Amino acid sequence: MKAFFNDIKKVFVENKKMAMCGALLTLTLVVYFISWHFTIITFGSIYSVLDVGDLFIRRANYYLLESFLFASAACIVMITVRKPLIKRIFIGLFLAVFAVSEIIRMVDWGALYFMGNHIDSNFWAHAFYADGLVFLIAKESLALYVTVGLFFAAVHRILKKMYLISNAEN
Amino acid sequence: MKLKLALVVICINCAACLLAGGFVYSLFSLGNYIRDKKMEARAEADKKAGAGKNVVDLKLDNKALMDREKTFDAAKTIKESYSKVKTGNPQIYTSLPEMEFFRSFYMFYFLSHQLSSREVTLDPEIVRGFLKKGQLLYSMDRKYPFMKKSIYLDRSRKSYNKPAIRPGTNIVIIFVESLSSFFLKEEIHGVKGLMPNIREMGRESFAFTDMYNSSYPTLKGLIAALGSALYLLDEEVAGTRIPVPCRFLFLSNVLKKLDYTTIHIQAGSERFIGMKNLFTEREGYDYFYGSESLLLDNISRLERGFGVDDEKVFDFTIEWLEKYKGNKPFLLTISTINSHPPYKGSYKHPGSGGNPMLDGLHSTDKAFGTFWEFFKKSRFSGNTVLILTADHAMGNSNEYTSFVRNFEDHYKPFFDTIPCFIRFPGGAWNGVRNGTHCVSLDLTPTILDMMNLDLANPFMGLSIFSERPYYRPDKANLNLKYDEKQYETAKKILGFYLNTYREDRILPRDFKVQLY
Repeated sequence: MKAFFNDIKKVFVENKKMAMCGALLTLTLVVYFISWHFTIITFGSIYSVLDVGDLFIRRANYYLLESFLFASAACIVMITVRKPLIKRIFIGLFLAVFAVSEIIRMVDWGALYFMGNHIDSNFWAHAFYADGLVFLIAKESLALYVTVGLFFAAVHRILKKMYLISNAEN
Repeated sequence: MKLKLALVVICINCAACLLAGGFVYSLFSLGNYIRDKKMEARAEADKKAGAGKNVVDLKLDNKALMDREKTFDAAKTIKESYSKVKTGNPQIYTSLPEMEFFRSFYMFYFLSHQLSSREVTLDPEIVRGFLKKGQLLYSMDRKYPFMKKSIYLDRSRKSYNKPAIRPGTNIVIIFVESLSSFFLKEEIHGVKGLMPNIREMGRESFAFTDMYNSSYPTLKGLIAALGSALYLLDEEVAGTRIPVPCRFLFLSNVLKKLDYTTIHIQAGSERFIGMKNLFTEREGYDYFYGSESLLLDNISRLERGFGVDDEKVFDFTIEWLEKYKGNKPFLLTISTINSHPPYKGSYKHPGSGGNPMLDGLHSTDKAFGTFWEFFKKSRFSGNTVLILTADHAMGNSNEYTSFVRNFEDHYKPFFDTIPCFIRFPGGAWNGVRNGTHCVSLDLTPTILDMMNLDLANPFMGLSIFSERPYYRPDKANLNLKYDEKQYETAKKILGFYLNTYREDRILPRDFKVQLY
């Protein structure tokens, strides 16, 4: 048992960077998911986060699990897959899914903040006519773009780092 | 080696999650702790400041219940707290955005697409149910289920105790965006001078005081009022909503038979879901002016919203009327926009508390005020019927919720009572009120009834004077709960409506207005 733990310790010390990248990716995703709800409740609703405590905690738990699964999947692919091309495809897919999620969250955040409701059939009815998405040209929406850009850059950077580390190790 | 590394990374990720979770829980506990402390401190301070004045100590023993004042205070506090909790749905802030997105996409596009794909013939039982509510189906042609021979289900009910409109009288109908009647009730909401001009018109006109909007949003509201039809087909995401695929019988179609000139002026886009085409090519309008037509000298204002300002709309209307030299009577319909999210009004009301929805309503009222002053003094005052109503009630925006949260009984987003003021030429019938429970679908049949015109039609509404008193419309209920059978029936009825619209089976292709 002791030998096993020593082994694990040794593996950790030797791959500290990869492990830290994994943890960083997990934390980034956690912050990305949870801050969406935190900010919309704080800035866009008549409630405080404490008012919706139970619901918020339940959602946070879900996001913790989701972030763990996504980040772990990324780490495992980087560690186990040998071919750089497959890794790059995986990173591309990961980033594409993340970007779709970001766009949805950006528009939905704006819909909730500016129109008081989620994207719904009324939203779709107006979506591509000016008023459905008119908030996207509001000055306040700059904050949405900046946030989305920052998160995307962070995830991209972490994945790239993991890719480089894993390639160097291989 | 790789397996061990994967194990290590998973453990580290797990630890990171636990750390983040711990952080969130700690913040939460800390927040709750601070809040509890603050509440305790406030309660203590209130107690010291003189308990019993503002503090409600709700102990439901006989002694407390016998103290009438205290009990009422307590009940009020409970109601206020309850109202705060009830007038919003906190769950929407914690649901998954991605899930909301895809679900709404599916509901909007595919569900409507599937339900409208085949022709549905309603069972006799359902048809009888419709008739009980004042809607006659399949009376002329199975292919065009809404067509019926008369605007009256029973001609013997035609009322003669009503205002009359002589054919040839000009008609102006103003649809104020999202104007629930509540906003005109200053004595309830307390914002004095919010809409003084519309209120004044209400005082100086005939009014239907219990009219509900039948549809939401604007286009459907206009179709309900002008075409007496519930349009439910909303689909297509690729590019825009599909243009309305069917033809309704609008008031304008009928009045064209009497040689009316027909004009629509609106603040919003004329291209939106092919509105201009619908109005001019199918619904008998001669002229249609939307934001694009009114845009040239109004670019700066367009940038602030998504249509031109209501001031521009009413200025243009006045200009149009002043220039109108035709001998023909006209039907002029106007649709405003300032009170539509994102509420870009030109004026701020001092009592709005920074609520842009109230500023938007106030701006519309100001713009209408200019028109109203012009109209009263103009040559049209003696030969024009002026109707002011709403396209629909206010939607559930944050601005609406935060304003109405203190008036829980009046919190009716989307479907609510809307004003319907009618100023007859020369001020006849001023101040008369009609409290019949009615819906905006009834507007066109009622106007035709007042004009003593009758024709074969696909109207879903009834004349408020003649037949609506016999058929009480359902009040809007957004929280319907169905059992399986009811659900199937509802699905069938929805499919029936959607398919009828999709296949353009409201009016027969060769339909021509024949007035009796």
